Amino acid sequence: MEALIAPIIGVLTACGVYLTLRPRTFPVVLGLTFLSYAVNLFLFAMGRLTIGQPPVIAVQAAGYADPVPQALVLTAIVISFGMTAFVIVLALKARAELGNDHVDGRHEP
Amino acid sequence: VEVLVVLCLVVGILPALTVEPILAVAVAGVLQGPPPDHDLAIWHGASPALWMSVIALTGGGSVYLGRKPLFAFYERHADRLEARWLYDRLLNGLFALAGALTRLLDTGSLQRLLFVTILSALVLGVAGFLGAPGPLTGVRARLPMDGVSLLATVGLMAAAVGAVVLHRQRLVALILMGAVGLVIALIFVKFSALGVYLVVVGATLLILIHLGLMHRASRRAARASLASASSPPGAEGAVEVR
Repeated sequence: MEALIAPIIGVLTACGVYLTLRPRTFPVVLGLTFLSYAVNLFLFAMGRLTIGQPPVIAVQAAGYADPVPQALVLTAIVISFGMTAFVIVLALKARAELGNDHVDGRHEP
Repeated sequence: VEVLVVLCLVVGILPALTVEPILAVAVAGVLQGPPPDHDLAIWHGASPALWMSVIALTGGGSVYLGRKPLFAFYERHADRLEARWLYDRLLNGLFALAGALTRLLDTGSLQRLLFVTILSALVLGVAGFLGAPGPLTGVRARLPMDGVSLLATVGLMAAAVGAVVLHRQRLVALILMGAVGLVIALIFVKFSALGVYLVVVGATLLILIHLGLMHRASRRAARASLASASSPPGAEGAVEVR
């Protein structure tokens, strides 16, 4: 399973970086979302992957899922979501003010 | 003053008799336990501390012996020797260097700044790995793979790469990104993180809605600007309100 998660994180990061470096605002937001997905998965995988463990206390449970990386990922998701919403609003405002959606606000020929 | 001198001499010559008990109490208090074995001696051998003392004594003595030429030198150059000149030179040089660096990195282009940021993160990360030779994998046995997970992985990668390739068709890219988000939510379910799953699904849907609104707004704006370009400038206000 780890051998599957690692390439997923790599591909998501590569896609995110490529899209983040694009000149339009829409792909940049898309790329930031990809990057945050990759970071979330990475944070989660940091705490070891477990399959089929109960998250809360059960009587006949052999072990439990580690709550710490889950809490970290939840925090990261909320923060990245807030940042994405902010960037979207910023991009929309720039689009309305400048009349184009280039990241530097310059007019394309 | 005489009392202080006598005190210093007594402590210096007979340390074991005077400060040993106080020192023992202080050490015990700091270490929170019995003090380690120690011995207050006057001669510790040729340790670095001794050499530092020797260097300090020699330097101070030589400056004192050569004080007459030094005073004369100061009298001759007192008006020209100013630290201010050095300070100004240094500060101006630093400002020029900082300005040149800023002009090199910041050309007013966000893409370039982002590239520099990502590149430096990459370089620092690789440098960290190269600097500390350690095993990249731990001792824990890998979890077994299964066909469904493999399929989900391949589908996720295909969707991600497809979103990158087709990012000019915004709606298609949006749908593919939604697929990526949902597969990631399924990954969290697979690895027994149900709470994270719910949050990922929620966040994915909200981001999709936001991006869809952005897409719609920009398309509407594009249409409006097209309309204003072909119509007389009276329609300018409608574009602004949007």
